[in-house]
Amino acid sequence: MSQQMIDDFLRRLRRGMGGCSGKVKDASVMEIAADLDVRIQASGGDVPGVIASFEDPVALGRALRAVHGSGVRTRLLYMLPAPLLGFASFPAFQSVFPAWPVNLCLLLAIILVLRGAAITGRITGAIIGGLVAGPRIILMIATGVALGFIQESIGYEAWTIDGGTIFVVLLTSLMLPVFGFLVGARVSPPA
Amino acid sequence: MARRKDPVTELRRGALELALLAFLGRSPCFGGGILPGLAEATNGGLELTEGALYPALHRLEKKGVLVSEWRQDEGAIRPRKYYTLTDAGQERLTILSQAWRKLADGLEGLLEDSE
Repeated sequence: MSQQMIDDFLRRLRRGMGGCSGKVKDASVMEIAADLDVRIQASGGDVPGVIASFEDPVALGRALRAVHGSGVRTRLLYMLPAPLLGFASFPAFQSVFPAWPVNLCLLLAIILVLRGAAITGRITGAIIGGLVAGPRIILMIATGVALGFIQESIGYEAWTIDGGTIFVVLLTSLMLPVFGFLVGARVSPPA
Repeated sequence: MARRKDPVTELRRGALELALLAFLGRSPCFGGGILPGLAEATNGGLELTEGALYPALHRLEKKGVLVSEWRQDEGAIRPRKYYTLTDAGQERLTILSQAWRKLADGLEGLLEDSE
């Protein structure tokens, strides 16, 4: 029972450090486990009492994550899908493929940015937001230029990008890096 | 809404780095030993929580002010992480302690005048 409480405490500490590299997590958990042992020994084996007097492990883990920053793998995990979701959430796709889930992709992109920012910090959060926003804006400019070219060369005017679409794409794109920065935790840049 | 912090906690936070450097300047120690040791050395004036101690130790280690090593103490179940002051830490301790004394003297005079 006592060992289970210690293991649970250390598991929660590790969870609080979510996003840190495995090496940092292992070293921190080992350090705090050793210090926990000292206090348990000093208290005559009162594991519940020692754990109750200790800092909340998840909060402690988060405070340590703020010092060490997130690991490369974690940052890549959030950064790599960002441009794909940026492309997939471009509204013009729905004009060509009516079943294309643009709103779902945008929702997933927002979740990715917010979750990524909360774990990896405000700077990486803003970068993830930028990685979603960039392709959307590039795609909008490219589509506008291509449609303008088509209109000028063959006079086909059925497809246009109206001002409302431009506004929505710009607004939803530019808000993502801002949200990423604002929602992001204060996490040190990775060493 | 911004979380309001206890002013005494804020004051302690400001003194934390100096206290850790001064404590570890005496002899190397591990986190579990620093908490009670620091409270005892300051007559209970600096009772830290783990949430303040470990991040501060890790931050100072990242700055190169402290260095750590794992030691297997006799009777201990697991190895403990001992922190020691580096040369840069010793230098920082000198600068901070001089600044602290100057500040404390100035504040003492100010507080006496206001009482």
